[in-house]
Amino acid sequence: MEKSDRKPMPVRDAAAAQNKDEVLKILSLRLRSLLMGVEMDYGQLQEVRLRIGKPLIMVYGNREYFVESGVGSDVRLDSDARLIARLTTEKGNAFVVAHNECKETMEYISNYSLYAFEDELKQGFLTIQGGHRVGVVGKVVIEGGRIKSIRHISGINIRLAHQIKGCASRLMGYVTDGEDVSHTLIISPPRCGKTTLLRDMIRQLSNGTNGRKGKTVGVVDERSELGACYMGIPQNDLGIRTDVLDCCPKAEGMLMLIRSMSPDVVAVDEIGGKGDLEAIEYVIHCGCKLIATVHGSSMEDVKGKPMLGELVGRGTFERFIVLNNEGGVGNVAEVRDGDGTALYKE
Amino acid sequence: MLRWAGVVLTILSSAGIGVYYSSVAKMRLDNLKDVRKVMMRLRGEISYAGTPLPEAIAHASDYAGRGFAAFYRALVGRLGQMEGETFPIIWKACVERELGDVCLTKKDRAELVKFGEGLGYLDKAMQTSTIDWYVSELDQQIHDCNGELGKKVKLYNTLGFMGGIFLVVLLWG
Repeated sequence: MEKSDRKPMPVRDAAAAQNKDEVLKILSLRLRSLLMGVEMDYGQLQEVRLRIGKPLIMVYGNREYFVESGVGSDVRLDSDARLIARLTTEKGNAFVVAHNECKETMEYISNYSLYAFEDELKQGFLTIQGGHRVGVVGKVVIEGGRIKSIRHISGINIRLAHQIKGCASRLMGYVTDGEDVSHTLIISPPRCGKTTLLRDMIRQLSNGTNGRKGKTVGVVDERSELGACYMGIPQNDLGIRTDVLDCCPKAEGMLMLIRSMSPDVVAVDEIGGKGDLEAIEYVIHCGCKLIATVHGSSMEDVKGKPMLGELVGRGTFERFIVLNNEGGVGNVAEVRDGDGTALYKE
Repeated sequence: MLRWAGVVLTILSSAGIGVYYSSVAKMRLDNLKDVRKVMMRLRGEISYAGTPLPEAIAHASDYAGRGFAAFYRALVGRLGQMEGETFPIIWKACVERELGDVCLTKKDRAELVKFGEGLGYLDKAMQTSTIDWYVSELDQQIHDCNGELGKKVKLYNTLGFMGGIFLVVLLWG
């Protein structure tokens, strides 16, 4: 988005307007005024990165931009004394984040109550209203060999929650067979849309679509990415029959859900640990269906992983969906059945 | 007749001033107890539920006495606006502007402002120790106030009445 291709991008829909409100609200006053001077579609804004003493970076439409407003500390104002700023790929005149900006932003993010997010901070992120994920870095405080908290926060990454309703529609036919749901593993490298796909699958299974009856879905949302819960309430639409265990370790969560909520389908994001795999076997033997995601580039890649490969080799999963970002995030590269036969190939 | 009416009115007004000051002393004690009650509630909200400050203050303020409701309401409102002020600044501004109807002394208000400087910062342990420190200060104030109250009430009432008599003697003697 250089000078030459700078075009006004009006807020297109309510979701984008909501994103704008939720993001601007948590930024320091100076950053707020700066970004209010930038014309952009908040529906396409993916990340806002603040690092003390470093340029403000925004990931917008899958590209990284700096924000420019005047030269150095001088800012440009329009006739109503509002800041004029623009996104640019050149870092020469980029706006640099000051210490106060980070501190003030953290105050707003935590609602003046950093103590209320002690547990979340131990994991390095917290979820704010709207389901947006705020990752933080700084000085890690260790007590008794375990992470107690993070102090002197020096970097903040605000990742905007994006739910794309309907993105799983064309795959539902592979995942379901009449009223039956197949044990499914979604495989993709990071940032290729596996969580977004899983979220929409959960929603569609829960609500019931195309004549299929809705199913009770239990979600173990260890990193608050699927439901993006704020104070326990999912901010993303996960459907009307979905129960979410927020910030719960996957292995324990799956067992808890089966004991307490009797789900038809259990959904988990980013499996991998030994405990996760043991819990998956328990889920499957309980008669529940499982939909999970895993980091990987292909089915062969997943088969090569210790333990998970063994689970895959035993034919635990009935469907494999492989995603990549060729031609855009969330591109479906292939769908295979439990024997490895391709049901769909790009 | 008019002279006697003047005498009675002078004594009554002066005694009224004495009664007013003694009631201020009583009110201060009630106000300190009100603040303490809210602080204890706030402590519970923070230490057991980990509730963020605006919400914790809103919940705790249900226990606020007369004169404090506007203060807590304004505080929660300004915290929700997120307009570039830190918590201690907002707290101080609200203490200075919204506590006109309570009978806290300058020192009490200064302590309240100081208390706000430690809130919202660091972890739960820090919050609870800040509240504990302030509650212990309040306890001391309440204890002192209780001890002095009887003497003060008697003093103000007597001074008011005697001052009235003194004025009468001075004016008509």
